[in-house]
Amino acid sequence: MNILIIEDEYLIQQALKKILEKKGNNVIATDSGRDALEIIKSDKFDRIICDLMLKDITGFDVIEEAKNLFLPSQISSLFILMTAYSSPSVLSRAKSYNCKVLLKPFKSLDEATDIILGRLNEKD
Amino acid sequence: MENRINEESLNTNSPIKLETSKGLQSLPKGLKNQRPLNKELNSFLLDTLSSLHFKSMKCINFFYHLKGNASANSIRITKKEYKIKQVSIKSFRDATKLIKANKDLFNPHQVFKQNELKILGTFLAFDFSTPTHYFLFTIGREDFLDFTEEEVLQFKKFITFLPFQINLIFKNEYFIIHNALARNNVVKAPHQQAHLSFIHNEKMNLLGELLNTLKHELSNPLFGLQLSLELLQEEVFNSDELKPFIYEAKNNIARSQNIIENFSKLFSNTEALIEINIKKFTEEILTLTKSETRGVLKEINIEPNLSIYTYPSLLAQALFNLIINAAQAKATLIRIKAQLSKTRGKLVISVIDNGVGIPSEQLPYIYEAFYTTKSYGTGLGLYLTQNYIKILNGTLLYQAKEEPKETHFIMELPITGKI
Repeated sequence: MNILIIEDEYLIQQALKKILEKKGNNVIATDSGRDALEIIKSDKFDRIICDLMLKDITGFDVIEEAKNLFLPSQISSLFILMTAYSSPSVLSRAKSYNCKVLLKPFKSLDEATDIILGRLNEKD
Repeated sequence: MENRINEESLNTNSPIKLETSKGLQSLPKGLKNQRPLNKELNSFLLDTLSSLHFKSMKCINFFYHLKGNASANSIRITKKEYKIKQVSIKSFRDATKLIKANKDLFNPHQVFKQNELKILGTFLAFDFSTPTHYFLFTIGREDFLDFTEEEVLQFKKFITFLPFQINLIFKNEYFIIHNALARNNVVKAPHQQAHLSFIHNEKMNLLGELLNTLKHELSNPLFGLQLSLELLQEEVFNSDELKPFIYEAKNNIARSQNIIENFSKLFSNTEALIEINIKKFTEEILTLTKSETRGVLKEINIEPNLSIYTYPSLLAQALFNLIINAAQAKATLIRIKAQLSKTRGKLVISVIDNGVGIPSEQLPYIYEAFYTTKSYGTGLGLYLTQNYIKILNGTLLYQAKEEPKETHFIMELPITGKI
């Protein structure tokens, strides 16, 4: 699986990259939403794990931009949002894209990687 | 006009006193025809505007918003006019946002665009909230010049003593009752309590801000550490000697994450009052404690129709903690009772267990933060529970009974809504 991680906290980004690589995936990581948009344009990914609070733009901005490249149905299976802020407004906006949301910190790493790798059915 | 907010009152800790009747007489011509929302509030604002310290100021805007309402109320007062009107929640939010965007609330702000709120030019502002309302106060000259240091200083002094002044709003309870009507009979707080809870609230808001910052700054590094340790645990250490260190390090991170999470819940009061059915609510909480209370018999003794207005996440956390505590005290039976104490106007929820109980020498410390006798505890359970209940304006009592040996934790909550 080709995975892109957009996360500006270096340790989280690198640890998650390594964890997913050890499970046999190709992982590219960036800390910038704008850079991520360039990467998405040139490379093909099966999953894009995107933090909501990035240093330049928000994860929602990334998705909005990505709408020019993908169909809504593709967006919902491609993007997984990651956030420490589980406020209702954040969750409902994520839901409007039909994207899965990973809450930081992960309650269980196994469960989180299952969601990333698509081994769990969508949960409401 | 007499300036009742005088030098003395701004420089001492004594509450500022306003005499209502004089306050009304001092309303300028034309004002008397306006339907007063709250005489105390009106005269307070007017006196503030006409006080010597703010002699250069032209206009005060005071906004208040009952949480959950679709509109906010605005009082605009100048030396010539006085207007009360409803403003859209959007304008109110925009203004609050603008002020919050500037982290130092004492700094002057500018709104160049004339919007619905009619805040013009440079102004000094602050916002604050109670569990039911948001407030926004601005004062300005309606020009675009900067404030002098002296003006900013006076404003700071004014804010410092505000808790006493806001007391005026609650004084005749009119303000509270007026807005509570929309909330379907939410019971007004007695004067003294409203006053104390306001000061308490300000402290909580400050602590809340601090904790939010801490949460924000610590969550990410901790999460990074957590993930890194997962990696290390899987790959690097096959050594039995070193494994326990990774295991303990992970536990410590989890504990830190828990502490941050629980504390930030304690000091955030963004939730709205909601009517909940106590029986259903308790059953839901019991489901959440399933894994911790495995093998323990549970008994619920609650009238099916019993309901109150409360902040559900705080009550849930309090109840959850008490149930977990009971289970960890090796109880084989946990009973949860709830009933109305009509004479005292309270809802009493008891969590009763037949576990090992609390040794008397430990009793003085059970509500202290970080006090624990469990090897795996954070020592925050009862401390937080008691504070959650305090926010709900209730009390937590402990009782021990012999024959049969029982531990009772009793929450008394005010009935803040219809039953």
